[in-house]
Amino acid sequence: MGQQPILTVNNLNIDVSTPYGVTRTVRDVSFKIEAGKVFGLVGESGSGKTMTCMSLLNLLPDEAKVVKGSIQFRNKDILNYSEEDMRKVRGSEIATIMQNPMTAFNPVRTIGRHFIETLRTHLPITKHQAREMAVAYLEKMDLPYPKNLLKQYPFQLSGGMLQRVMIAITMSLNPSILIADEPTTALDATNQLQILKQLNWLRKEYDTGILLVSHDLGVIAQLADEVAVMYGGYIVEKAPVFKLFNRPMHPYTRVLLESRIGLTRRKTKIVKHISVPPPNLINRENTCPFLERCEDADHTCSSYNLELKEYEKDHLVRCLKSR
Amino acid sequence: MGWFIVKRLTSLIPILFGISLITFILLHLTPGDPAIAYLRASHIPPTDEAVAALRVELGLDKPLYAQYVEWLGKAVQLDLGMSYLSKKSVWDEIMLHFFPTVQLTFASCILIVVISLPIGMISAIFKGKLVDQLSRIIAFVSVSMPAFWFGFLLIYFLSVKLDLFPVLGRGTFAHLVLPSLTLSFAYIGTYTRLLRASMLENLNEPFVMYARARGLRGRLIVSRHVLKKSLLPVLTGLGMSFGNMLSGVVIVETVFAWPGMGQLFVTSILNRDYPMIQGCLLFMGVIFVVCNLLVDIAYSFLDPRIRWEGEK
Amino acid sequence: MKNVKRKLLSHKLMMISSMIIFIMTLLALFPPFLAPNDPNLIDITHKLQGSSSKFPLGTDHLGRCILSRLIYGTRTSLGTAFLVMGLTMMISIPLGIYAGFRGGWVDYLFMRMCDILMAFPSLLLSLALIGILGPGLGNLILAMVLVHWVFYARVIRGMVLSVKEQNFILAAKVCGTPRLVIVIKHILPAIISQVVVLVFMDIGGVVLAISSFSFLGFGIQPPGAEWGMMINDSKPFFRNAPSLMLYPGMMILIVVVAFNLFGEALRDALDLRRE
Repeated sequence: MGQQPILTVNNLNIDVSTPYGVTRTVRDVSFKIEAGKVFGLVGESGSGKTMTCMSLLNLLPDEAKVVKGSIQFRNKDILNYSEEDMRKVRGSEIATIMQNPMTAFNPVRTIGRHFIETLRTHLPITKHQAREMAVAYLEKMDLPYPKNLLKQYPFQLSGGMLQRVMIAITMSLNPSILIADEPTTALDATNQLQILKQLNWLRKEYDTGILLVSHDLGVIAQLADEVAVMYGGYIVEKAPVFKLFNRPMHPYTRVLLESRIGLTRRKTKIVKHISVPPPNLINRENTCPFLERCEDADHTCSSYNLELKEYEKDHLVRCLKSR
Repeated sequence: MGWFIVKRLTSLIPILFGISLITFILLHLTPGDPAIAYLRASHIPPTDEAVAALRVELGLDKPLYAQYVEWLGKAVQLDLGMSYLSKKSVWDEIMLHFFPTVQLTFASCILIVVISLPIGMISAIFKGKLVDQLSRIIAFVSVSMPAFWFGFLLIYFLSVKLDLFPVLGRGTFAHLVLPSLTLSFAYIGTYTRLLRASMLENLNEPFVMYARARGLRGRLIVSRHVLKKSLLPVLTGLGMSFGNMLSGVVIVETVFAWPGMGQLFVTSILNRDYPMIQGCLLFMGVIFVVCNLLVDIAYSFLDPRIRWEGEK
Repeated sequence: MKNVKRKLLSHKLMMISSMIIFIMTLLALFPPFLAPNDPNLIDITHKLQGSSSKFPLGTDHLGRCILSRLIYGTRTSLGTAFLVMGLTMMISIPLGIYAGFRGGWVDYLFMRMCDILMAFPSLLLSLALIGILGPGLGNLILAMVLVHWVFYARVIRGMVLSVKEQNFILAAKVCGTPRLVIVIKHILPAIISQVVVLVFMDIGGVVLAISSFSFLGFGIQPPGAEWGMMINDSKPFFRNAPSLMLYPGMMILIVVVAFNLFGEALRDALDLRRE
């Protein structure tokens, strides 16, 4: 620690307009990503993880908008970047690995075209040089017959291979930040492990800071240095990975951890969690998003101002009842 | 790949057979005796002896299946009989009129591509904006417009009033403009909207998001990623329309006095020139089917997904 | 917000198109009360006149009242179009449902027949049929029905196939419901709205096709009034009297646009309900 963070997100708020009204999908989100470190973001679908990722690339969909906060990349707010400046940052400085590798590639274009067009967008090189670079990086990812691979179409490869191609494309431009949005969700167990190993290698070898988004705590536990748990648009708990797993403080984090081992152990409180529908975020007042589902909630909770408090060093929780 | 073509070619055989059968049967649905019709068309009084003699001459006294086999055997050798009207070989007449029609259809195809592509692209990119609304209205009018009326409007305003183009007939390049514009007008609307819809669909695909996340330039994403994939359904449709347009020429050729297949067909119907009707129908049916086959094969070349399926 | 606006817009289009269709239907139903003159009254002394109080839109080359002929033409055009569509559906719906529901060799045979019939461009096949049957309104209707039923029957078969595998049909089958009852009580209601949309989306095209045939001289025979034929009649005179050709063409365009708009609005409305 103590390093200068590469990317700092401060007090980020994102509104999404839907046919039914405006939803604040991301509320008061702050975190830092340091070189060579992995920051994990956990939460269920709709908790605002993907919107947060998109905003880091300035690629929010039309109906979504950052209404408050800043995203500092190397001490400059990228929200103020022009579209052209931001385009130059994407891929070369802040890179992404997409959730589903099977749909991330254009089915009518070969792997080689994808790879080469990316390199040539950011580097002043010829097609031939780009092809040689691509081969070299595919080899680094242990992909067999890289020259042949470049001629193949995305649908001819497996999901795991495509995911590794994506990592190879990312690596070749040596970005300082990598956003990996559910990088393993669409893969089977063997491929998952391999991808995680390669991500780990990537941050050690290239000192890349990684934002790892997942709903799978196992993935987070293996790779992350620091973890934030999101619920209803808020970061409800943020801590170094060991502290979070050893001593979860927010009731939601506890439910999340228990649900993992709940199958083999005693019956837990997750029953209540499931029986209550997830919170409706449209036009919601500033009350705790977990209120309806929480076991520990009482009358004091409804007037709680949702402040993120530091209960012990580096361990922040957004709950009145945290113990 | 080769296997795919062979498969498609084999599937063609029963269809071609069916076409020939229908064309043959149609003629035998004729109310009245073809021999009498022949004599009438030749201005010979249909006496009993003349009819009987002609029936033997035309082979009409034989059983139906024998007539079919004989007719098909000749048709395969491009002998489609003799026109009642001009007394010339049907095949020669068709060949004489086919080229002008192909010329007209090709010109229309080019017009469709040249006009629909940019409009469709622009309306997809500026979805919901004024340009898009305008193109929607144009598309609506274009598919609702009676072609023969549109043709007259063009003649009246551009040829008669402004004297920009020749009114009728075939000859110079200028003669080609109005007929091909008329023929392509309805398709322009269709393809503008088709390309727009296809592009909008593809713009929302994850691969576009990934391309943007890799920092590719917007123009490159539209031209190399979105347009390429969106053009596939448009090209298939266009190939199919080529066959349809070959029949759409009937109207356009009548309006512009264009000496093509359409005119030949209409004239033969008006004069009850049965061998000519039969020949034209058979010929156009075969051309239509072959066009669709070529489109299928071309599509499999263009779309790597289908190419791969074929190889498997 | 955008969504609401779009809904309103399509609603507005729906209103306008329904209005036009309503007016056209009135014209088609009661021409004797609405037309100012006898549409077939020939009076050479009044030929090719401009508009006057007696002839609001002028007269044609035989001195007939254009407005009256347009109004009577509505009956021919719309009546023929609906007759063609109705007869086509009377063939297509039962056959399409039978092929789709029965499956097996019946379906196979049906599909092969479709392949062959649809191998001809439909306009050409209709024309050839008219050529063999002879021109005339009755033969025109017959030719169009004979050619078009294939297409619709195939589409309806497709609809039936997608409904057939759904659980409520399987449940009815398991309960031992007789086939005919399943078809009438379950399958027909499930596809009927799609069929109605299909009919209204295509009726504009049928109007166009009928006027095209009349234009070529294969539809209604003189002295009957029909828009396509009126344009054909005006051919020799259109340099000097363009209005002769302008009015009937406008009528066709308006009717076809109205039907197409109506069909599209109807489709959107039914799609929304499904969501």
